[in-house]
Amino acid sequence: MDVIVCVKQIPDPETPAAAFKVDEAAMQVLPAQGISPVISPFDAQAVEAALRIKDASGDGTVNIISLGPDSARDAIKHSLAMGADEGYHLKDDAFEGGDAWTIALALSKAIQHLGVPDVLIFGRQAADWDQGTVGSIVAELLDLPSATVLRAVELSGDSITVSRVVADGFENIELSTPCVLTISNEFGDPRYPQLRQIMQAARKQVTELTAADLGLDASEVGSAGSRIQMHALFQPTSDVEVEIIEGDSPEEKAAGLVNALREAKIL
Amino acid sequence: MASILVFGESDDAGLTAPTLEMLGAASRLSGDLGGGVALALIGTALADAASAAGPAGADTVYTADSESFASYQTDSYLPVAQGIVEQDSPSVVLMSQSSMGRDLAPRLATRLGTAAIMDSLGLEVDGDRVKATRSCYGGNARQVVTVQTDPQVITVRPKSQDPLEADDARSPDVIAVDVAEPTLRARTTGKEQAESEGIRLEDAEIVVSGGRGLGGPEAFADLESLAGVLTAAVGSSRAACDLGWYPPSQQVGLTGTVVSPTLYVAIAISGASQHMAGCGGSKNIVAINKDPDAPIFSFSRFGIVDDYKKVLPALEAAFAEALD
Amino acid sequence: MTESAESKRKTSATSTGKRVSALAIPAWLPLGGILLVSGAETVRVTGAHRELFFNIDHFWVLYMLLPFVIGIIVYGLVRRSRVWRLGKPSFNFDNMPQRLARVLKGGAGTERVLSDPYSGVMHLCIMTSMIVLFLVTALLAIDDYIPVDILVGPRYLGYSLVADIFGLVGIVGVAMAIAHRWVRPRTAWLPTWEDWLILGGLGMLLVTGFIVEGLRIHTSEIDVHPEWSYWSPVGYVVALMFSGVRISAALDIHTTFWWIHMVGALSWITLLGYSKLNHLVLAPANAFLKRTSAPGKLDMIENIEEQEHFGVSQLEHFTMKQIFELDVCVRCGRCTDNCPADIAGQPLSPMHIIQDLKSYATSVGEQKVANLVQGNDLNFGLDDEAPMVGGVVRDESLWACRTCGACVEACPVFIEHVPTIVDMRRSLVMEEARMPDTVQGTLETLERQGHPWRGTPYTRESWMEGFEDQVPEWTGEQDYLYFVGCTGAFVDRAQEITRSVVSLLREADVSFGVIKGMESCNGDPARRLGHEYLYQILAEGLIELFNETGVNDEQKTVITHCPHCFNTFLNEYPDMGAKFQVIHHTQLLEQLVDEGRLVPSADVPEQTITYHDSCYLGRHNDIFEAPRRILEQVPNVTLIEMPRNREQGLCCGAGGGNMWMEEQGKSRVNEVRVEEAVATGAEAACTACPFCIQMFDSGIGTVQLDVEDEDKLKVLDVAELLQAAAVSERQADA
Ligand SMILES: Cc1cc2nc3c(=O)[nH]c(=O)nc-3n(C[C@H](O)[C@H](O)[C@H](O)COP(=O)(O)OP(=O)(O)OC[C@H]3O[C@@H](n4cnc5c(N)ncnc54)[C@H](O)[C@@H]3O)c2cc1C
Ligand code: SF4
Ligand code: SF4
Ligand code: SF4
Repeated sequence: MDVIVCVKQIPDPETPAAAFKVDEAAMQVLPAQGISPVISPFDAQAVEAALRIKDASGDGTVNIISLGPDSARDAIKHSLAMGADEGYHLKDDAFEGGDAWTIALALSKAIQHLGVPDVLIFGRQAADWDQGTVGSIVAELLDLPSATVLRAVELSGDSITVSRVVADGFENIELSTPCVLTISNEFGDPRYPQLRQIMQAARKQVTELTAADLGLDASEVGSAGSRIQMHALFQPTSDVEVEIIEGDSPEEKAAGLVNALREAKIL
Repeated sequence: MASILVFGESDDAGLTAPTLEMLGAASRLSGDLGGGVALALIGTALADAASAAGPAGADTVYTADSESFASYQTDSYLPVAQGIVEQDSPSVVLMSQSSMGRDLAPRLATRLGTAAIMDSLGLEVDGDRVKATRSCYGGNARQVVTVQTDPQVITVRPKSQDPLEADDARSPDVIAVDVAEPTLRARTTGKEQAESEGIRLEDAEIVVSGGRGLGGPEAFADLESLAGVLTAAVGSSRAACDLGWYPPSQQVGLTGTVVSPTLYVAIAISGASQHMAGCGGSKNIVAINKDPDAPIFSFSRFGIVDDYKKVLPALEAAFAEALD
Repeated sequence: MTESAESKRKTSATSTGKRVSALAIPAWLPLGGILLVSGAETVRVTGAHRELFFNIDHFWVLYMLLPFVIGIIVYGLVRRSRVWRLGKPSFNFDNMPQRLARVLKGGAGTERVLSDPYSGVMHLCIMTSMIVLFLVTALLAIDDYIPVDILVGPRYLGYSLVADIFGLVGIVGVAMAIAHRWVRPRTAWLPTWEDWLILGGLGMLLVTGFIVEGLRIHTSEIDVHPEWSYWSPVGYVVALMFSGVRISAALDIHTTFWWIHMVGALSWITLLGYSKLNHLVLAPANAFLKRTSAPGKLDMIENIEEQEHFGVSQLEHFTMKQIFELDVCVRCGRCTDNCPADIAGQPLSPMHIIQDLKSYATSVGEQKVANLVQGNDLNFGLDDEAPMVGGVVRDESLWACRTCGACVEACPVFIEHVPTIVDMRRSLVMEEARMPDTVQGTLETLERQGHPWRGTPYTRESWMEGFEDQVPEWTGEQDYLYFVGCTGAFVDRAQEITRSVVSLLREADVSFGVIKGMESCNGDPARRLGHEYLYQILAEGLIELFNETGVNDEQKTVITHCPHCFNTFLNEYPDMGAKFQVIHHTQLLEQLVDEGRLVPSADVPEQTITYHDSCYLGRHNDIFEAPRRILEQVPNVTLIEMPRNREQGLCCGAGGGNMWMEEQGKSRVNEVRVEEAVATGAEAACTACPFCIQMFDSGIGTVQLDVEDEDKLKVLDVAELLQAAAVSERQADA
């Protein structure tokens, strides 16, 4: 079975809050000192899911596409080190400042360019913007069935059985191929690459594709083609000081805490 | 023509709470945006839910009532939803950030030639746009965004909006939509109920954790019962695991599981650095400790200084009431 | 061999006696007394002698057998050496004086064997007995072949006495060894056939030797020269036991036992080529081969990008020396007895690692040799064998190792367990990517964030919040760079130590600076966890930073308060191109106190203190006294030692990356160590390692669960105590 996984390189989500800084004027997250960007964890799980499908089906390929600046190569290399076959890097200044729509558009063109595989896998969301829409948009653009937020993926003959995480449990869904899947954290940990594979991946050629290669005009992608506009990016002011809930009785304190949590929109 | 179309959800008890909240938000937004509020319901046996929509703030209700909508399925819901939007042509479409909303919104938006903003926390009208504030970077940042194309599709985080006071005087127009049999490329083959114990620590939205200060294994039963109320997972400090009070699989920390839930409730845990390494990424920490100088308080948003034995029963009751 | 025990005249074969350690000397005092008295006695007796090969025909058969025996031994060793030679050539002959001294002191002198009283005495008995008896026999033979008779008269009698005494000493040694295995067998080192064969054989030889001697005395001496026979006291007693036996029968019995004794001796000695008796030869050889670098150093994988395998997953990936030393192990169990993991009931016994690998080298290694000889693929026919890493040696054993070096320190035959264990870890991590989740999390954090403290809420600069201006920025002009390290920056408890060190350096007006925010991990955790590649990347990065900032210069000294950083910088960074000097904060602080630049004058709250030796400072780098001397200079402080201290110090449990792993097994190492500290009754435990501090803090919570907070053991870094005693109020406030 052939699989394509779309991955994204993002600032390390494990960056401690103290090191997380935003340039509000530029509406950008500042790279934290000494902390390298990583493949979005859900995407690593998506690669894991793809590799398991490949293993289960006994043949086929797992190819990787990533759209982004130079650093996106590292997400591709990481996926290759995990065991993926080929990597494609959609790289063009024209892609800059894009939103989920323009990214999904470029990805869908790239997928068509490479040939639509049996399964397309995404992470449930990129752990930077946390939107979680690219997989669904690509599915819509390619007119494919999709299942999102999955915790398990299994091959059953020509079709795929998945377990989807829903509010009160899990739903088992059977999809015909080709289809689009997005993987959630419940899927479990992705493999840690072996050093030999890391080195092989480092030597492997990654194919670069530009907007023109995909038949896209610069006006369709990047900030020019975006449908969502950002007006502000900021860090929520969190009270550094702990708020001790006072009260005369335990009941009062308990009620006070529940109220405070509601007011803070945590509950 | 309505300005705002809300895709609601219903269950045996009628309209879900997030639906009521969205209707509340929609009424407030429509005040600034002009136009009315419509509610779309896709499902089965929608009559009761539809009649509750008026009091909750809807001017119009679209119902797509069919056995084939018994459970959400992208392939079956999408064409109907598209039909309703095309019929209503709203400028804003709201959905809940629910299992349905997070799956349907982006596909529907794409099909309509527009885009979706996911999981908004706050909504505000700016000209003909709705500015949505949403959380990103795992909660470390907030962004304010608008959809530039129409209709503006936005999903709303449950509990982030207030519902309206029910006004029984209002009764909406109910429009039943024609339902064509869709061709299904995916079908639901079964459902599993998640139990509270079944929630993996690292996936839980809320974690209730206990430490050595609990004084014994029995107290973990009380923590489990509180977790049941909150649909939370139960964690533990290493000290408590070491004492055999709780399974090591539930240990949170440097050498245990790393969690980053929205809410982490640390009960009788001192807050050693190795423990914080496993939960410091939580969006909000609440600590209950009898020692006002316990380090855990310096990482917490809220705290109660008291014997947990006294606080816990009251807390469980208060949560149960609040979440009802 | 005890033929010599009944031989004539005198020798001064106590040469080994001169080398015995202080412990052994008292044991030999009585013997010296006996020799002195008897030396005076012998003057009275002249003409005493004895006939060689008394009552024996065809003794030339013995000489015929000798080449065979030697051949068999050599064949055994040479054959075995083919397995050793499966490994990679690695012999290094640097630092010859040190190597030779080690062979003399540790190999021939068995210095380390003597560190355990019981088995030290036992071994000394057997060893000296064998050496003396060998020399005695040789002397007899020489005497026979040279024209002059040296072994006559008093010399003969003294000789007889010495031989008899050492025969007896040998029997005592063998009895002690047997009793040891009988009475004190630890499951860890239950005796095997080898033990019984060697000990039983040796005991048999000594006993038959005395029987032969007794019969000779009975048949030829006691009646003629009874005063001679007193000089063979044991033989004399045996002779008395045979006194009822007719002379002719006794002569027949004598012949039989003589042959049993001689053939037995020759057979027994062949064990040298086939059993752990080989340590007679191999142990001194291993004393020579042991690395001369600091024990805490791990060797670099050169050109790692071009390697075909990473670490060791197959026998042939080891170096020759690593395979060789498996055969040197005598199963004494000392490594395991001193291993913190084993002491805490965790799944690691260094002796078993060595022994299991040795059996593997025997079964699989021999098969590989056969494959090579037959021109087959090396692994032909070995598909069904359990894998070496993961099968023969279990993953959890490899992970439980603290790399503390207690085993290496204890091993009487100089085996180096730590590099062998880490080599196998390397293959787990780099080759198979198979490791506990916590290890993976640590390595990922190192890769991504440049430090191992996953989940820390801090940044590299958090520790100086509020007093940035008092922390001098490194300019390249100062003498010292204070390398704060990851633990000193990202762990709250260690941040306090960092601040103490800064305040002491300021108090003493030391010219120092800190590279603010730009530091990154030196790679030590990655290296100990087996990720050599990541280590090299991190180390290259840091060296580059040191080059850019002018730190990497012979004139500059890097201060660390972390023994792990210290060890890596001092012993491992030179391989990466480091030129700078390295000093541990306790060394520098001691110097500053000596020079009077720091004056510990104030009373400190805790005055009875026990010092815990950090393995990477102490055992691995020989810094035992500097921290103690600092503590001793603080007014009214009394130091109480724990039973395990200095070279024998017990690891706190954090070493070898275990700081970031979850332990498996009965108990926790830190709790064992904290119990030892609490048992001293001290008010505080001091140490000089930010890992040890955390391990202690955590252990105290459990060990002193029911103790009121103010009565609990306090845990302090030496710098913190010194700060309390020596930093003026003015600065302490600021
Ligand atoms: C290498 C290493 C790894 C470690 N990894 C982990 C890890 O992964 N996870 C982890 O948790 N720990 C870890 N630790 C242990 C850690 O250092 C602490 O020892 C541990 O977290 C302490 O657990 P605790 O807070 O439950 O207990 P304590 O520190 O004993 O705290 C108990 C708290 O309960 C409070 N209390 C007592 N009675 C009551 C009451 N009736 N009502 C309210 N409050 C009360 C007390 O005031 C106190 O603050 C690790 C330690 C080391 C050295
Ligand atoms: S280094 Fe320490 S922990 Fe490892 S085997 Fe040796 S004694 Fe045991
Ligand atoms: S390795 Fe050394 S210390 Fe351990 S059992 Fe063998 S000889 Fe003894
Ligand atoms: S942490 Fe301390 S005792 Fe433990 S290995 Fe390091 S130095 Fe040894």
